[in-house]
Amino acid sequence: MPSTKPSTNIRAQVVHGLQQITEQGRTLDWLLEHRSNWCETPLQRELLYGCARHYDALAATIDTYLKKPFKPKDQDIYALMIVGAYQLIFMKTPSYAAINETVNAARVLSKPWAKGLVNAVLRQIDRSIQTDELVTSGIEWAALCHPTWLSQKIQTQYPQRWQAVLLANNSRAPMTLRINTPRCSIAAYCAMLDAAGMRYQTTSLDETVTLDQPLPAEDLPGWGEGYVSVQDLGTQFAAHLLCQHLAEQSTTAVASEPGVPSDGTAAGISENPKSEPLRILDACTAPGGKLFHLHERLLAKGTVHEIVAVDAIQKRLDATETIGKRLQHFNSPENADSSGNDLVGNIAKNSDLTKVGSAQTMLTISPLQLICGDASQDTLTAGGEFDAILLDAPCSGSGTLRRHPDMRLLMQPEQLTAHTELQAAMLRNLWQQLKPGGTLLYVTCSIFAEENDAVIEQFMAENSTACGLSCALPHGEATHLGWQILPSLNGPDGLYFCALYKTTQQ
Amino acid sequence: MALLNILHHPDPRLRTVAEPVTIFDAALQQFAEDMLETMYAAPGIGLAATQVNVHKKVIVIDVSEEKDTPYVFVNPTLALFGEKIAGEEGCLSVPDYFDSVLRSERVKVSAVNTQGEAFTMEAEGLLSICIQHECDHLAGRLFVDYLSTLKRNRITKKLRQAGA
Ligand SMILES: [Zn+2]
Repeated sequence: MPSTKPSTNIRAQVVHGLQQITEQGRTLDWLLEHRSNWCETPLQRELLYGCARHYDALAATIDTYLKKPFKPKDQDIYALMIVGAYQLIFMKTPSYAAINETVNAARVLSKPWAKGLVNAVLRQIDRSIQTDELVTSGIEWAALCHPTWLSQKIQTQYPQRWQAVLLANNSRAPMTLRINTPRCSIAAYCAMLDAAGMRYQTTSLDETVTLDQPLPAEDLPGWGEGYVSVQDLGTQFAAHLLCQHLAEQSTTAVASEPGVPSDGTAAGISENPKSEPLRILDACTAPGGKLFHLHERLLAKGTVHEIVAVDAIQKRLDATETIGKRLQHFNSPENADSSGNDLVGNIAKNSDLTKVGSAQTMLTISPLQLICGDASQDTLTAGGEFDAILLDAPCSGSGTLRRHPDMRLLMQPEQLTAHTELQAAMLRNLWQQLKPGGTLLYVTCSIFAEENDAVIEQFMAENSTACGLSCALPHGEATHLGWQILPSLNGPDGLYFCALYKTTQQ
Repeated sequence: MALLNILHHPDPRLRTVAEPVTIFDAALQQFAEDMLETMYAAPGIGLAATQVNVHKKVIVIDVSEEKDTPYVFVNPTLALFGEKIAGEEGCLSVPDYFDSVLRSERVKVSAVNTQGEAFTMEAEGLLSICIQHECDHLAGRLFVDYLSTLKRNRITKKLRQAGA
């Protein structure tokens, strides 16, 4: 029989969770899915995520008080000290309580012999906090929280900004909301937040706000009604960049001067003289944040469009569809609420374009099509060519370290280039499916050039029809070929964007 | 000393009925120590030989807080006394699953030690529950057998997926 029911000791469970990450190479996502009782309560989650985020620095601190390293079978006691040290340093628990609870957990782990040792080490750490000997807010600590190869790599690539990146990686990501404006106006949603007493900040995008205090998404006002989504600010620029380039395409098409970016405004799209819908491909769509945002933007502008959204994994497509249904992007037209000026738009899933209207605006119901397929394979011919393609390419995710605190413990240097062949294959394949005069937006959540400019440079060297379009965003900076956002405190994740225009001449 | 591998439900080997021990040698002594080490490391309070794929009648138990009161029972037989009371049980062969099972309040064990010397012991509370649970293993029974078919099927399915 086992010693205790696992849910009876929170610290023991956090210890098991940490060991799954550091010894078994499991991710926090895996734990959430398979051992949800280990990260059930807010305290468990805080301890697990916090310990992962600060693991290496906490370990280095503990090591200074240990005479000899732990045997493999006693790594649970080592992990327990990590948990205790995290609580002492980063949580408001009084020292005596944090130390006592941690010491008692040694018994739950059936290692009563370790109680004295855990107690002694934690008391010394507590003393070094009280005397300000241990400083955990600065860049030295943040650097310790990254594997050396990673902090050095960030430093090499960003000699001016590496410190800000490391500090941002150590911060908690803000909770950013995207208002589903075709369903609920910005003003109406902000009024709901005010009424719920949830404080927020506006951002560089109109339909986007950042909450002062993160909370479970289901607790957001209008969540069930699909008025709002949770999406990082940086990733929301994908839809805006595509809309901007589509607008330029339509105006340059009229001027028949391809390749010369005009000053066409977004309004240009709706004045598209052709009634043909814009055909857009979202090549790696799951979980669909960028897809639904793009759809919402185009709906809001009254642009006739259809989006083919592809993902390689059916399970993730199913999850995407569930999200789309909550946002009412897949509802049947008879449920459409066409009574208000703001609350509009329900989208038929079939391919028939149906027009519904109100006195104020002419609205178009556009289909979103979800397809399971591999964007790197030429079998992915979703019926003809596209006016625009969004390629949110698989990558190392190095721009999202603050969101995935376990990643720094699991990431290996070779992972930074593990996806480059796939990225190139997807670019090559998708390029065939782009209309001349169309735009492909390449996006990664990586901050390293290997997955960004280098992939684009290689691609452009092989493709004379590809030419770079300028991107300019309120966050980040221009790179050689694209645009790089670096993670920042309370700002967006690290992301890379590059818009490629397909010329008409060979 | 060595850690032994614990079989997980629905492994059919957990259904094997154990044979009595007939040879009391150094190997038996070593096996009992390995079982104790495996039990402490799990961490657990009881372990039956069946669970480590040795089909001999040996169980080890330590329900003490300080983990300093190990018992080894070889060829145990039980006499059950008192009312049936419900207690929450788990099993190292059914990881992460706990449920309420009815067990006799008190138990009298007759067994031999690793030297083959006979002894008897009476137990109640957690020790009584644990002895009954481990002796069930020697008969090829699991605590989930006492649960409803519906519950048992759900657990079996879950563990089969986890093992896959
Ligand atoms: Zn058992």
